[in-house]
Amino acid sequence: MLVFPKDIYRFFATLPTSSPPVFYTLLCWMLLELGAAFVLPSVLDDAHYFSGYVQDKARVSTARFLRGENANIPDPDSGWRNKPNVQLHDWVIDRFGSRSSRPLDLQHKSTPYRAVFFGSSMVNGGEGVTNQQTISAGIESGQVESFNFASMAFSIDQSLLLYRTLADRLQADDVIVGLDADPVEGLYNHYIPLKLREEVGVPYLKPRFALEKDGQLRLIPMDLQWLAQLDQPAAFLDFLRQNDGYYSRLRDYARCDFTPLAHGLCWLHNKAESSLAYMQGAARASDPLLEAVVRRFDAEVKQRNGRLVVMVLPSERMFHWRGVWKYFPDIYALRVQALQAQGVTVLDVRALFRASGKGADELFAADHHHFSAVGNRVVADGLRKQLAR
Amino acid sequence: MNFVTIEYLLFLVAVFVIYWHLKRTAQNVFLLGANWFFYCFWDYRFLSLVMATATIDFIVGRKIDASDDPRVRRNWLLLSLGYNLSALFYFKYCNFFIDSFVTMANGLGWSVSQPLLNIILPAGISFFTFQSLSYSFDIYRREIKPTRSYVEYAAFVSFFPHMVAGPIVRAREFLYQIEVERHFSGKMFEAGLVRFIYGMLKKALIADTLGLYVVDPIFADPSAHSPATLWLGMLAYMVQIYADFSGYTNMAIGSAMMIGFILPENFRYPYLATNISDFWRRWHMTMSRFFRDYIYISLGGNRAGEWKGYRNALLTTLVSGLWHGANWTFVVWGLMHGVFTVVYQYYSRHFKAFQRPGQPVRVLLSWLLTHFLVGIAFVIFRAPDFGVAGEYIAGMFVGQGVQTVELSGLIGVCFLLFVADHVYGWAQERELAWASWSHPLLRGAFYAVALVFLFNFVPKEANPFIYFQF
Repeated sequence: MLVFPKDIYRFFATLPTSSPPVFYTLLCWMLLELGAAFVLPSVLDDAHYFSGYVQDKARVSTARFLRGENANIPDPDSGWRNKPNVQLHDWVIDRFGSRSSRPLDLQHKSTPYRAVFFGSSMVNGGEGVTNQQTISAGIESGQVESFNFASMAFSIDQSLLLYRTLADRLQADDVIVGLDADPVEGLYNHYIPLKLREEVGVPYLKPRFALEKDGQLRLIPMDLQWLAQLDQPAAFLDFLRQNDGYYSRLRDYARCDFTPLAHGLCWLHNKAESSLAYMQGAARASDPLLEAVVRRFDAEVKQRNGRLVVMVLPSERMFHWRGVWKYFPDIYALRVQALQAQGVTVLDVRALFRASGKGADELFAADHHHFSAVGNRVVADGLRKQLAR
Repeated sequence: MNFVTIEYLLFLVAVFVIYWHLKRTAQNVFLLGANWFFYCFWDYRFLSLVMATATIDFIVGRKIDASDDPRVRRNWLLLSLGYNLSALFYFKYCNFFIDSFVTMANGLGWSVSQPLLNIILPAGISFFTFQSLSYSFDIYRREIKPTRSYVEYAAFVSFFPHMVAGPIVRAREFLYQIEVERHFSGKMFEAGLVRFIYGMLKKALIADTLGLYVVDPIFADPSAHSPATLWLGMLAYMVQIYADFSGYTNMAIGSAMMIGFILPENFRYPYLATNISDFWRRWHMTMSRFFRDYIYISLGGNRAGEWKGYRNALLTTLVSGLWHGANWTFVVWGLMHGVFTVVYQYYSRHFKAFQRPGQPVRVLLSWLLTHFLVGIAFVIFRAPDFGVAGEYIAGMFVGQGVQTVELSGLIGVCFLLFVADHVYGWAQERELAWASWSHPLLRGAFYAVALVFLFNFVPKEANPFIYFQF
């Protein structure tokens, strides 16, 4: 059944003579690969690559953002926040920038008890659910009112910074912050497209904290004006080079994104790296910067006689954690343990989901990322019990 | 599994490596498995349809050959015809005819409700049913003998390079290749690889760029665009559909060559045609050939007299239009080409004095007129309905729209590559010396640059191949 096709081996072994066009195609291709991956990046500066790295749609979105035409507006403290008085179909933001389920007044409590939510679109709810189907709406009753300041692509450091600017007016009994499936990435990032080039909807700039040797957090502020100067990014790139943990993505882009072989090799390298990272799940689950930010958040909320509740939000994969994944460290469980060890109140959303007996189809939205209205309801029910304690 | 995807490239490499390490019989079994695997990537639900088509026509072929009784032979042929055309009719045209009937009935004042069926079009049905049908026909006409091997026949019907969008290969062109021992040929591999890369350049760069940035925006709202833009849109669509379909064909032929099979050519620089008959000798040649051999000639061709010849030509192009899709715009497109062909045939038969050779101005005018008519017909072909088509054509002459499209350098490169392709074809047909000159280094550099260019400039939102829908 099997044969040894010596003709093929001979053909490829003697390619320069057996097929000069194929040989020269390969040769020229390899030269182009070398030129694009090694020669050009050493000749051209980063600004040159940056102009191609930032996609056109991201530039348009940035310009709209700076003009105040997006659903988020620039915020010098947290980078951005929800634009007040916006309605996009079922997505309604009130005059305070909160996605509330009913008209509320920040200055005057309408109920004895007030909860205030922070986080990303996972907490905000996104466009997949109505204002009445969010987690924050789910905990409301005659005794409880809630504000939802969660905003797209927010990381927990931004939640803390936004909380600081609002804290004096909040009168919050509980501050509830959602932690996404990977809450660490955002903490080391300033310019969102460096972390994720495809993020053209929220290509914004944020401040971040650095963890000093003495364990103290140091805020690294940013200048939103840099977003208006994407065509002359020298100063911006200097700042990012020094402070953004994802600056190497721009260098990777320069080396890997222009030729197919380099792109394939980089893709394989990244896959191997992320697999290794999963295998080292314990290290990823416990991040000193994340824990320091959570501790600081908790301390600042306590100063105002409130309580911080950290909702750990699972991805669909984390919810199942089956198949090949069960052989890797359970990052979600490790993260919950690591946060509990910080002395903060932690809501294990995966445990709530599993206890609900519902499947992922019901709990997650069609995008397999955000929670559905049913998922939000399960979280809200669990949260209500937590708040009652 | 689209040809311009990493999945297909991996599939092709895997097939190439395994296939050449097998003996002939095992090669054929493996090829059949690979074909079915490829089809399952498109739509596994209809694999049974492909298998049934192959099985029925394999049996019919043997039965026709085994009998000398004309009635028995004809009945078996009718079975094959009935099965293939029924499948085609049901999956492709059922809703179309119900819809047309209901519209007509309501137009006549009868109240008829519309029981539309939820029918999904199996990928490549127009291609594999025709190929299988040609096998029964050819055996009936005693042009070929039936194959003894079901595996070989099924591998022919479902051969992955040509299965989903042609070229339409006849059994007699393929079966003799699969029945014999195949040996790896470096020259054939080289030619196949080069064809494949060139096809990818045409499809992924020229067709997709023009489609995405010029054709789609203009056809989305013709009345808003200026007359000059509409003319540009028509030209861009002519280039797009050629680059898309001939690019696909190149990739199909190239893929087949790498595993030792020769498929028939489907395009021969169609925009060099100087009359409409010439155009059809250059455009989708395997389909033209199929309709000529099995419909035009079956109807009597031009043997039954001049006017019956015109009628047959008209009917053939009408069926060819309907073959393209279940929409009246395709029927009218076919009918228009029928009328153009008949007028041209009448002209060449009765106005010979105007057709003396060596009249470059006449040839130029004829070329311009041919492609103006082809372009107008393509506008109807591309438009979703007659309203948009009418709006488009009227706008080309008396339009009030002012909108234009942004012409980037990339669009210019696409048009330039298309022109270079046809100039090269023109030089080849005239056997000019420079057309056959090619230094291996120059060719190698061209294909390497093409690869890198493709990698960087292929639109992310690529269109599927236009002919996949047929």
